[in-house]
Amino acid sequence: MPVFDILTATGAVFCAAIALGARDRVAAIAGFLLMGLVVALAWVRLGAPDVALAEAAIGAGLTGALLLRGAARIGPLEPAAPPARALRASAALLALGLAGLLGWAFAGAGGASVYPALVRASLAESGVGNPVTAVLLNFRAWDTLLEVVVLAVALLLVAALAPPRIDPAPLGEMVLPFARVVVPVAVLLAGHLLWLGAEAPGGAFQAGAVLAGGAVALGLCGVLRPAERTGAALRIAGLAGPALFVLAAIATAALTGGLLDYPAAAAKTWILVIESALTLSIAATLFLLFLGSEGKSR
Amino acid sequence: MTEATLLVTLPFLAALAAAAHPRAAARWGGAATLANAVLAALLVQDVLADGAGATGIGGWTAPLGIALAADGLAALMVAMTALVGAGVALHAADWSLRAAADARRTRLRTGFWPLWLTTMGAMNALFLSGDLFNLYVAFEILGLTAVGLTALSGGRTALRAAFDYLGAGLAGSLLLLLGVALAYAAAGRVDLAVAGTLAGTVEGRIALALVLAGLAVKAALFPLHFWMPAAHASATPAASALLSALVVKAALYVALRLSLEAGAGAGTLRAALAAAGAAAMFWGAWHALRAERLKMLVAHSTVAQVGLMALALGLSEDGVPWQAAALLMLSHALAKAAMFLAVGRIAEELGHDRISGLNREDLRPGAAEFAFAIAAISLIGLPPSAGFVGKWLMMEGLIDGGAWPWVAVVLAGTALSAAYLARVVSRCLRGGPHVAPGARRPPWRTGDVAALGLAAAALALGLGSALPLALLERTLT
Amino acid sequence: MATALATLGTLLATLGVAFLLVAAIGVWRLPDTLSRLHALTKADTAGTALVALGALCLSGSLSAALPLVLCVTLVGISGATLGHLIARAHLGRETR
Repeated sequence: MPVFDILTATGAVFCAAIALGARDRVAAIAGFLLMGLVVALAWVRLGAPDVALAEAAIGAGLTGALLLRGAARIGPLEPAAPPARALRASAALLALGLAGLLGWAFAGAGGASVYPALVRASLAESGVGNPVTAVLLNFRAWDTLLEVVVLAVALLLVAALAPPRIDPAPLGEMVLPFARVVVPVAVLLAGHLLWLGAEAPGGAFQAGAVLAGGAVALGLCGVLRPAERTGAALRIAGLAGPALFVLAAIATAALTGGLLDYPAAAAKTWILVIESALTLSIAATLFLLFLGSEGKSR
Repeated sequence: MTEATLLVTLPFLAALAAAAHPRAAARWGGAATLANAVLAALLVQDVLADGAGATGIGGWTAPLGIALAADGLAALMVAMTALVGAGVALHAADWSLRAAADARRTRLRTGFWPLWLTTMGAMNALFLSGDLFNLYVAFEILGLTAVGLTALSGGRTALRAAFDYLGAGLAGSLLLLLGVALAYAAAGRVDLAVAGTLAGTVEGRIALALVLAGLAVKAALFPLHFWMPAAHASATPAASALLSALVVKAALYVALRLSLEAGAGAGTLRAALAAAGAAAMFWGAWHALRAERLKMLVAHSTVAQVGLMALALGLSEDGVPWQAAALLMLSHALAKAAMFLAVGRIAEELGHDRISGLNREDLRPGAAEFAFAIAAISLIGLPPSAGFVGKWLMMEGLIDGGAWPWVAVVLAGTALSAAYLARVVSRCLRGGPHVAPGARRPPWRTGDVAALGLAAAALALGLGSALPLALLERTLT
Repeated sequence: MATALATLGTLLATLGVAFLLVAAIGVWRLPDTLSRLHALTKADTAGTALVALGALCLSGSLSAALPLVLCVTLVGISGATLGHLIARAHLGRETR
């Protein structure tokens, strides 16, 4: 396996170099997506299938759609003079020095993590069997709530800055049959991932990304035409999940006296309700980010 | 702890409501800012009466869970956010009302409130958090909302500045995240109490250095301040006030908290902080002296003031009590918010913000110029302002410790700040032949109350500094 | 029986990897978009299917069949559609 590890590590760096160095935006995006796939593989090797799933769905999947949309909006890369050699050399030296220092520090850092034992000891009380979900929605649900707010802020920025929207030309008759297969599968898969998240790798983020992928397919074949009304509905859907999460946090504080302290024995229900709402909101947010703005098109 | 719970949840809820219902955004914003101020006052009262308190979120104690800790320092910062926020919200509400007729400004009017409310919630969450990784997540929110606030005015320069801000903010976040990851690798946990153990090992000190470097980018500490003047100068007045007075303080607060937790273990880091702070004081002052535009002068003065606060943090082994840094942060927040609001009003009245054009014959100085002058008193550190008390604590400590070179540095920085602020104040004070007999005064606006009130609060806090100092005594160290 | 199945699985997977390798070489060496596409879509789909079949043999359980079959079906459909779209885009650019 060391060979495989070395290959993934160098592969990720190589793809990152392509993404940074390519003269063409699409090539750079392709390099970035490839890096997402390689990094997802690396996560599998590191024993983190949850992160691998999220990375594959978002980093190597939806981000591609978003980046290509952005690239189409800003036009081709203008040739720029390469920075001075001295500047490049000093940047490379600095980066290598930092990487060396970090490598040395991480290799020497020998603190035993206190978390695995703590999570194991408290998993039975958390209401779910998947330790990752237990951490994300029970032990450290506060982190997740704030992360969800980050996503909502991204949505707010798109709404407030309102970049000009591009209506995609429908991709032709071949895409419709494709969407007829892919979209139901995406919906099924999202539900499966959401339900599975309680006991096995999966959860709201992965499910939401898959659902958003299905929505993007519908958008590309021209079935889901972006219109002002769809945009407003999507915005409300995107905001509803975070709002429900915050409301749940306040409700738990009122019921048990502790912020996000779920009532005993009902933790799984609370987690599932929150995760379902988050799935829909994450999907709506990602799709709205893909569409650009909800306003009038250019 | 009910107040703490509501302080970190209500702003987010109001922000989501304001975003979902843009037509009532200003109403949601005003109500939530007011509620936040009441809750902050209750929290301060609680901490004064019962001392510091902490609960584990979700019923899980640290390090498994995240602690929500309200001590004196956190309560002071929450109160600072509430006070500055109330002033800025008053200004923004007044502006919203007057701009209501202008359809082009709808986006600006409705976009501001959700972003401000989210900023407020994230600031509260950050001050009350007792967990290193949680702090990083709070910074993620702050970074994005700050970019949004910068870009909101929509001009080309604003978008450019916002993009640079985004890049710098992401670089800072990455450094912060790397530091947290290394801290986890070195100590095996990420609650804030880990800082004490981190200072004991080489890897831990590297982790602390990475975290501090990330914070330095976010606080715009020299030489990582390059993104800041453009961002703070091109935003709308309300946004500039929030960015310069509050968002920058979040990073300084975490640095202060870490230096309290890490104790005396991180000597090299302190020295670096002090050196960067001293350099920032002179760099910022030099650029403020040469600035041609009023907003640029105020933005560069923030670079210099952040340097002063970093210097206070870095010199804590030379006798400067940590309370000095906290008081300087408080006074700078109030005075700088007042100053940016006043500058916005002056620029609106004049139609430009060139400093050379402040001498004018047909317009007398009004409330905004008055607010600017009072805020300048606090920023320079003249008695009886809060800035004076902070600087006095700092100088007293340095003199007791015999650190005379640093005394000279602080005095030189003070003289320079007096010099660049006098460029504006002296022009406003000129009367006689420069002002025509029939010169009009700028009309009085509700928004002027905000600038005047914040500036007066900065001045009055010097007289009432017993309250913040009593609050700071109840800090967990 | 088990060893035979395992041998078959390894063989199929190896064959599949060989197909994928040929596809990669084709994309790398062939001169223009359409011939590259030709090499990619066919060899790629067949290669993935063979690898999946090999994995099925290696796992030796029928419950693993459903996701694998689903994978192959989806790769087949999306490969065909994407090939069509790329070719269309290419032709559209040439005729313009």
